[in-house]
Amino acid sequence: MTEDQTTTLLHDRLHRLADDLAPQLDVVDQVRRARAGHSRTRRGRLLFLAVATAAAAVAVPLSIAASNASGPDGGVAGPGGSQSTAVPTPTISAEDAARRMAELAAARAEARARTREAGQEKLATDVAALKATFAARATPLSLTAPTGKWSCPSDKGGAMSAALGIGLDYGVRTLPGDQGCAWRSGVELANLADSFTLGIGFDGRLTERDLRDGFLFTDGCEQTDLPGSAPAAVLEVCLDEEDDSLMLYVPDSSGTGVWTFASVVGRNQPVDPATAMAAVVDVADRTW
Amino acid sequence: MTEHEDAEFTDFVAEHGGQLLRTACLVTGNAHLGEDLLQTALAKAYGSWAKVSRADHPAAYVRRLMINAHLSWVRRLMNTEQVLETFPDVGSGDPQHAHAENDEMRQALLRLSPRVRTAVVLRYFDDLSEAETAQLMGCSRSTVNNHVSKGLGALRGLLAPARDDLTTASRSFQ
Repeated sequence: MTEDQTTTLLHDRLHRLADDLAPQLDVVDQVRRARAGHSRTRRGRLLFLAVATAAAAVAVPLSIAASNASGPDGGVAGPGGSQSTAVPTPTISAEDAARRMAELAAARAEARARTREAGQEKLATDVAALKATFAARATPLSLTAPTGKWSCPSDKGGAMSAALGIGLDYGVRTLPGDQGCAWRSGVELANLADSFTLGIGFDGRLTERDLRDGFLFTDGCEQTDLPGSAPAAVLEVCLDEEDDSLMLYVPDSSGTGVWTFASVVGRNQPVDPATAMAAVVDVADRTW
Repeated sequence: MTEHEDAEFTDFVAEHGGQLLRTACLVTGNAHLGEDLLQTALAKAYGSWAKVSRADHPAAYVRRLMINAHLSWVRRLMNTEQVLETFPDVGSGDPQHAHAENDEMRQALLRLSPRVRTAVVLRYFDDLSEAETAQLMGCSRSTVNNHVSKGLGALRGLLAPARDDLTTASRSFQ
């Protein structure tokens, strides 16, 4: 079979697979979700900025979501109360049942929102501390990539693991490259809340301009300049249901190439992503 | 966003959403991930529609947003997808099954690394030129060429007859 025949066949098979794989597009739903996604991003951004600003100045007392729902014995009461007193309950109308269900759903949604806000406040405080650490550096963070391919730094003596108090598996790879360097612990991705991933990447084709144009940024995340780096680095904060991630983009000192640092930490992990980010940047700073 | 822009965005999704979704499903190898990927790109496009709509080719712009999100380094870092450097023989599967051929193709695509798979899909599904693919993926033409050569070689191996009871699909690549 000639090259042309092979590629024609591949073209046909890809189209048949796409027909089979892609669901029917629901335009109205896609547009509605795009609007909602955009609004959510804006709301999250505004909330995060507000919290981050406050966290830098004062300690913000966390609102405890469960406080209103806790019973006098410390147990958690359901939205409808936990009293076991027999109450004569006449027949509940369909309207009452529907209203009760709606109230329950609203209470659950409110509790989830409060938990999320508490997580955002905690992360904002941690990020403010990370920015303060960088701002206080004696010399700005400046990384210079070697030429050619080079190895990822090893966590000699387990210093990073020790600093974080977490055993880390090291994924030995080379840079520049698609995957970069990765350190993981407890990566059972069926449960993101237990995951812990640190990474260093470098793309020599990118420039500071690409970074400023925002093409590297993740939708729904919040970006902020990080002081104490030259050229100026950008810190990206992403909040998710089960994990939080920080991305740090640092233009190479040569003017070409952008370093990417990732700290993705599940909510069940004892270390916060800002501390983990500081540790992995420290490894890079010592190496490059 | 004004009402007019909102209507313009809706028209855009109606006109181009289907093809973008098909590309998204192929590069991710999964209908749900494909929908998520398209949604990510559309939400981003919605947020900067004034800029997107002024582009020479808004669909190409949104496709670039989508591919960029797909190739996002942190996504790959967290990806559970197993990328194999060696390509095992393909079993005979169930050639009688209606979807066997497509499933074989899907499995073969999933064995390619995300960048190689993306290059193959953009070149042979979206029919982009080498230069257009390079621009979209943020790399050089020679890198695209390497990805595509590697992808085609791997797909030939994966879809080639592994044993005597050949499937129709695998015969096609002889």
